[in-house]
Amino acid sequence: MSSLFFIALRMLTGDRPKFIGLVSGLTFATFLMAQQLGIFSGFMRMTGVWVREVGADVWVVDPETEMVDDLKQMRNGELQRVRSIEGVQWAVPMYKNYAQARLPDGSSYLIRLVGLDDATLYGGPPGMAEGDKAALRQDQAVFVDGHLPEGELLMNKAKPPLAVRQIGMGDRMDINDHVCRVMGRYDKTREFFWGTVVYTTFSRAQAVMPPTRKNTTFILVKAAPGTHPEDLAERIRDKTRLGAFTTPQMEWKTIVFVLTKTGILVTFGTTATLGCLIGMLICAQLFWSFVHDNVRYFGMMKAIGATERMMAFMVAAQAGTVAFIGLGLGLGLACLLAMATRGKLAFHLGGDTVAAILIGVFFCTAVAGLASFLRIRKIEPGIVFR
Amino acid sequence: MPIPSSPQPAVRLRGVTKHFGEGAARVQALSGIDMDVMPGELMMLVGPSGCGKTTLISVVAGILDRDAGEMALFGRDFATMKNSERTTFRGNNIGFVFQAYNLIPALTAAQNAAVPLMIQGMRRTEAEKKARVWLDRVGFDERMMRAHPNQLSGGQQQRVAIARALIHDPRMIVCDEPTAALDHDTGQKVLGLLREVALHDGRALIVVTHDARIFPYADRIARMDDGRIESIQTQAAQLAPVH
Repeated sequence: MSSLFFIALRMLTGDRPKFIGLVSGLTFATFLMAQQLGIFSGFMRMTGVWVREVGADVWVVDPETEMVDDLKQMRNGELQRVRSIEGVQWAVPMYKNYAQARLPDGSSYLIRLVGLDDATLYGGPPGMAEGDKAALRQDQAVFVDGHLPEGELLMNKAKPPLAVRQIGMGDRMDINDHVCRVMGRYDKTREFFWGTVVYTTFSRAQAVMPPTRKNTTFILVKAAPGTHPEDLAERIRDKTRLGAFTTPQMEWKTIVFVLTKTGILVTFGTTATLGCLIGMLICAQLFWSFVHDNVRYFGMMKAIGATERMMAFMVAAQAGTVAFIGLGLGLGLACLLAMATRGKLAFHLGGDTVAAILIGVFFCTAVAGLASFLRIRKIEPGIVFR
Repeated sequence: MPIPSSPQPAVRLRGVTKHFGEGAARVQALSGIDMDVMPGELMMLVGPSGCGKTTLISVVAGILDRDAGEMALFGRDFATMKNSERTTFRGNNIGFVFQAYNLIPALTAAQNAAVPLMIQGMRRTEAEKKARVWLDRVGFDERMMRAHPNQLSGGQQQRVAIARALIHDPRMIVCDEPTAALDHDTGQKVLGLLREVALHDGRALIVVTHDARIFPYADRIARMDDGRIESIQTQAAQLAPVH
């Protein structure tokens, strides 16, 4: 079969313009699939990024909570109930809610205020761009994003003599008319949900927000050694009638919410599906055209003794080679795009996305190859006499 | 040229018929063909376009199925073989020379000539080595063996096709208008070469042609018209002059 592989390969690569066209088509098709699926996957990952970065074993929430940014509050006493459950090593409260922040120039922004457990500051930002995490315990301290999106928390927009700038270390920020001060700028991964996250302590968050009976958004639980988070989450649900989810479950719940309750799935899903379909059609059409152009030579080979199995092998070798090269180049281009737009575009090429693209490309070349083989199978060897 | 005596003809056809299409579009391509081709014999099939010559060699080579009649190629009947068996039998026993050469453009002359052996599973290097021997016999030098079909003249391409038809030592060669695309001198040389290298070891040759100038190379000529064999003449009875 190695000799047949050689013939198949030479037939494939012999006509350079056609071969380049075929590989370019498959490269484009792969790139299209990778780009669409990568952005889709990137968006989905962005929806769960905050959950992953907090990283609690179990998230306890109000039973009506549908996802991580569906901010429904629980009574503070729920924390003690959760702490009393077997398998809980420790549990800390977290507050999260929307608030109005007023900057020194009078401009105001909608922010998401997160109150961290005073003692442990658990669930805070993964890193600091400026300042120290412990500074959050200082009087009036808040942390803001160290890499604020353009136009966010911008000061002096309407005051020309003053330099327009984003809020920085030491600046005052009034939250619900309570004076706060920026004592740190944190690092974090971009997330899907909008509204800058401002961190403070749990007690300060309670002080600046309007008083209500319910002031705990999340209870973050660490499972005791030997306790599986999923089992613990189930136990907490049973004992407290609250919602309790592991980090992957919470992330998935958030992804599902975004997919089903917004137009994201329909719009991106449609675009991604169309991208894949167009990609598949391109490579199927190109491969079919290649076989069509070589039909006379396949007919000649049939006439001089090549069996259907041999023909199938040759077509498979050609389709596989084109798919392999196109896949490599297409994924390479997609990776270049990802590197060029790092931090600007929600693009994620994970193993699952690559696997989906791989399946997609091989599926469409297999379909094209099969269709081409059926075409070859129908060729009368007598074509060589015409 | 005397026909070698043999107890069994290479090709034996009795009452072979073949039609294409149905109803008003029905065309009777072959009507009761009786013909024997003996081993070591060069049989030419001549006649006007559409008389059934190509259909006849397609049936003989097992490329088309006949409708009725009897046919045996070296004692075997294609009708009793499975598709894959028929293909393999054809690959092992028949060599083809086509009017349009049908050389694969991406392969060199040596690689093209080696294709039948590669199909039979021989390693490429070994097959190419054998191909070089055959190409040498048809007058190719090393440079021409490395050339691609588009770098060769029509006559040279047909010589590659002859080497390809012979390389796997088939028992019969079928040629379809082998000189149609060649000038007179080249056509004569190709036929001369074909006779010289192919008619050995009891190999039978069937040549379909319109070209009267190559008739003298035939041992016998079967004249066809309207799907029938009108006459079969030996070389002595041929009228066409040698150019």
